[in-house]
Parts: sequence; C-alpha cells; structure tokens
Amino acid sequence: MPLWILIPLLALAAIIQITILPQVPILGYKPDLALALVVAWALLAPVGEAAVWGFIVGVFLDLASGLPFGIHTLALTMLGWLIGWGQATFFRGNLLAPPIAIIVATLVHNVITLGILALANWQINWGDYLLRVTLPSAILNMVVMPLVYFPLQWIAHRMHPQLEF
Amino acid sequence: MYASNRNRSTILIFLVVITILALILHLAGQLQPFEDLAFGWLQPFLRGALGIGASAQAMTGTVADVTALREQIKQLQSQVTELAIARVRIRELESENTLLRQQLAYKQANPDFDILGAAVLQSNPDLARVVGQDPSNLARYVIIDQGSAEGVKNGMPVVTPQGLVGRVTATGTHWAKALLITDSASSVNAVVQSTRATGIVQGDVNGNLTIKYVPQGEAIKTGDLILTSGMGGGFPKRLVIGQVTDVRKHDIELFQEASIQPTVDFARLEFVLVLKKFTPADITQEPTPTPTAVPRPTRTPTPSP
Repeated sequence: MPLWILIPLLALAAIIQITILPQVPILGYKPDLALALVVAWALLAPVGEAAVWGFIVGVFLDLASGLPFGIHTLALTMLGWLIGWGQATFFRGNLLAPPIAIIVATLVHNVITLGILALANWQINWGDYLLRVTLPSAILNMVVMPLVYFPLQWIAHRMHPQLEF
Repeated sequence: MYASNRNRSTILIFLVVITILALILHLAGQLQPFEDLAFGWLQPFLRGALGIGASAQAMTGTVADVTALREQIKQLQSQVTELAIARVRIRELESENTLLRQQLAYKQANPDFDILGAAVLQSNPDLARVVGQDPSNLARYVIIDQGSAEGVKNGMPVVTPQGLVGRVTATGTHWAKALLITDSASSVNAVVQSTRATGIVQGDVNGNLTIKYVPQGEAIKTGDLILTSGMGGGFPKRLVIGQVTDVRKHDIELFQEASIQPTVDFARLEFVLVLKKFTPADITQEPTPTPTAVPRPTRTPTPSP
C-alpha cells in the first residue's frame, strides 16, 4: 500500500483511538485499535510491512500519549515484525492465529511499555498492571479483532494474491 | 528472496534505531519542537473527530427523548454544581471561623481565595477544551487545546467546577497534556473536610481513587468530603476531590485508607480550567500543627473580643 494512502489511514485510526474510543469505554477499558491493525496486517501481509505500519501509527499515538515519546512506536514496530515473522514461519492461515496473536501481542505490548517506564524510574506495580489492565485489555482486543481482521483480509487478498490465508 | 529479507531486516533495524533515538531525545527534553510541530498539524483533526465521538456516545443511549432529558439533566447538574460549591464554601468558612476563635494568634487564611476561585471558574471564558485522551489503558492523561501561548506551564493544576482534574505535565505552543488524579502516578495531599484529618489521594491502575496514610486515630467515614490540603504547594487548598465511599481500617496497621468517588466525571470531560494564577501556599509561615495557614492576609485581621 503506498505511503500516501497508508499514512492518512493510520493517522485516522490513531485519531479514532485518541478521541472516539475513550468516549465509549467497555467496562472501563478502551480497545486498542492500532494494535489490532498492526497484528492483523502482520498476519496477512509479507514480513516487515506490519513493522512499518506499527512505526507510523506508533508515532501518532506517542504524540498524544502522556508516556515518554517512542514507547508506542517501539512496541508496535517490534510486534509488527515479530508477528509477521512468526506467521510466515509457523502459522500462516491458521484460524486460531488472530485471537491468539492479539492476546499475546497485548501482553507483549504492555510488558514492553511497562519495562521502558520502569527503566525510566517510574514506579510500576507489575502484578496490578498485568492482572487488572493487561488481561482485561487482551480479552477486549480479542473480541474486537474480527472487526479489524476480516476487512484487512479482503484488502490483503487484493494486494498480495500470491499469499495464501 | 534473501536480498528482500535482508532489506526488510535493514528497514526494521533502522526503524527501531530511530525510535530508540526519539525516546532518548524525549527523555532528554530535546524532542519538544518536533512534538509541537506534529501536534499542531494533528490538532484540527482531533477536534473534528470529537464531534463524531460525541455522536457515537449519543448512539449508545436507549431512552426515546434523549435530547430533552439531556437538557434537563444539564440544567439540574448546573444547579447541583452551584449548590455543591456553595456548600463547600460554607463549611470551610464555618471551620475557619471555629479555628480563628480558638487560636487568637492564628494568621488568618485568605477567605477570598474561595470566592475568587469560584468566580474564576464560573466567569472565566478562557476554558480549555479536552481534545483527546491517552490512547493506552496503562495511563490516564488528557490533551487540552491551551499551551504556552495561552500561559499554561508545567505543574499548573487543572480543574472543573465539579472539582480537581489533575496537573499539567507537558506543554506545547497550543496544547498541553494533563495527568489525571485517577492515574496511578498521581498523588495529591488531601484533607477530610469535617475532621481535617490529612492523607494522600492516589489513583490506581483502574482509575479508582483512594486516600491513604490517614493516621489510625483520625476519624473518617463514608460520605466525608475530601479536599486538597495545599500541602506541598502542588495544588491550591480546598479544591474538591471526591467523597468517601468505603473505609478500610485495621488495628494492626499504622494508617487507614478509604475509597473515594471523584466528583469529576472523567469519562465525560469536555472543558477544563487551568489555574494559571495559582500561587503555591507558603508553608514556611504556617504555625504548627495547623496545616491551613497561608501567606499574609489581604485585609485587617478580626480584632479579639
């Protein structure tokens, strides 16, 4: 997908996550639209493309976040690459891949974020965050993942017909 | 294919290096110009998206005559806010009156602050609009559309007529980010309005508020109003934080704590006010053990009877 289409699209996703999703929380949690996009594209596209998606959407999220700049960008870029490599190597086309990938990605994303904050001398209660934030967020992201995955699958079919899903 | 994979790895390494450099620059405080420029471009889109967000919020309602009911609720909330502010002022004035009568050498607190504060909140047209919130569930920040050009600086308190919202932690030219008091990184020195017991209000990972480190001997009960104490100079005193909903007290512990229901509805923040004229309390002039004395009174102290 050319950058002149990709950047505005990912900017729109980030804007939705910053403005609209916080106004309609589900049981007090916001679904991570940006993470779902990156994970879904990592499962559908050639290795490396989702890393670029993660970088672009991460920059927009970091601009709006109160956390140190670069946290979202780093986490999403690395996840985009890792999941893309994993799907190409181990589980391309597996129906269980999207829900499992988003749960693992939510965990890894939060661990990276909290790890960087801990390195920056923030006081982090790991147990509290992982049990009371990460776990519910992962379940919520898994529920909304189909809303992101199937439209992207349709797009991926047209862009990369040589790949099997 | 090998060359293609190698190119992708190179791109990935490049992106990761750029990101780590950005993180280091941010921590060193050198990324401000870039954030300012980028956020300046992004802000109009955030404002536009807010309108869609408001519609999405409206669609989740199930009552038929939503518009009329909302208007009615808005009017009632406005009345409740005015009454709540008046009630807080009255109780504070009563408490202050009692204290002054008990300690004749007491330096009179400036009662005009309450009036000024309420007037500022009610009449100040320079309200800041909330244009976004932190995208993560791990942190609780809001983004407002006022920045250094409007006189906003780091550390300034952010409030609404309902009570304390948080504190500015980052500023740009026309934007600022405020840490909410419901964030786990937030701590506010507080006092129980009825008993003057002191404690520290902290947020937790789920955005709940708790007042901690209240000495065991102090009285605190469900329904008590929690205000800022002004200690530490981070916030002005007598700003409403919330109301106690549950007290947890164990004889084997040094301190007791209580859950607080905040008076501000953080899920529906639209407009806030940054206290730009706030002067931190000069705690060096406070007599011990009273925690509420403030710098020089602006009017003649009441003569002793």
